[in-house]
Amino acid sequence: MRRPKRHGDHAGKPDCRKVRDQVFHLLDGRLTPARRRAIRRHLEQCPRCFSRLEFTRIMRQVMRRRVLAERCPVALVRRIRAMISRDAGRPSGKR
Amino acid sequence: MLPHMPRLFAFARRLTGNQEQAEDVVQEAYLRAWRFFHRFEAGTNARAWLFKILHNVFLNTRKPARMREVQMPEEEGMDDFLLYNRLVRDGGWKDPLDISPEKFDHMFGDEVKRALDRLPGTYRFPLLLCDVEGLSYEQIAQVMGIPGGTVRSRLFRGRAILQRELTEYARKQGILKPGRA
Repeated sequence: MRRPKRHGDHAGKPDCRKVRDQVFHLLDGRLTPARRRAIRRHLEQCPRCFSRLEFTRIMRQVMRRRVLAERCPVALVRRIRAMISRDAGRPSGKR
Repeated sequence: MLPHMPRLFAFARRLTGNQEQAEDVVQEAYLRAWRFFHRFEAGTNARAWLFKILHNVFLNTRKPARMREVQMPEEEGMDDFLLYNRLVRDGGWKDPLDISPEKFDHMFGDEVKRALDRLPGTYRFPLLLCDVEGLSYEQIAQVMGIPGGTVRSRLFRGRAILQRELTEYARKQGILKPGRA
């Protein structure tokens, strides 16, 4: 999406509130294609709504990166593999 | 199922807020997944199925209060853009578009993790499933066994609480001017 060039042009327009309410739905992929297009058209014209979306997207990106940075211990992987192997060898072991 | 383990562990680590408990929860979830694999429907989302098992394990291994103790705060007055609004208003940002993931991470990355750890499980679980794992609201509803409307409501509240925590942090760090609510 293009970054809007001018600031504040559409800040007072009534549809800013509607767009604001749809930011998370847009990021969550919950909008119909037509609604998504309409929102994107607004965002290309409205720096305030655009920056709100960008800020939210970046915050989510950082959260995701930080959460997924946790490394799964190799010992845990080994333990689970061994546990499953043991369980598979048991007569009553079910898949 | 094993290729999902790093994601499942990272999720459990944030969910439990504790390394040892995260390992226990993941281990138990995998044992159950193995034993009940015959119940998995081929062609459905394996990761969502594992999260459902993880959710049950988490509920069973924690005190019931952990997920349910918090009264639902009123949505009225909650702001899921609070931090952004305050930064623009009080943070002296001349250009609100002047933000990058690196800059945000430098300013708030550590606190995002801490704030997530403080967030009640009721909100943390769906928030992580949505914002980190990218599950749909419908999938989250299935994983947690709650209606879709409850998922939306918990996501809104969870995000708003997180915003409030980060805003408070920004104020304490001097990123925001003090004295303004």
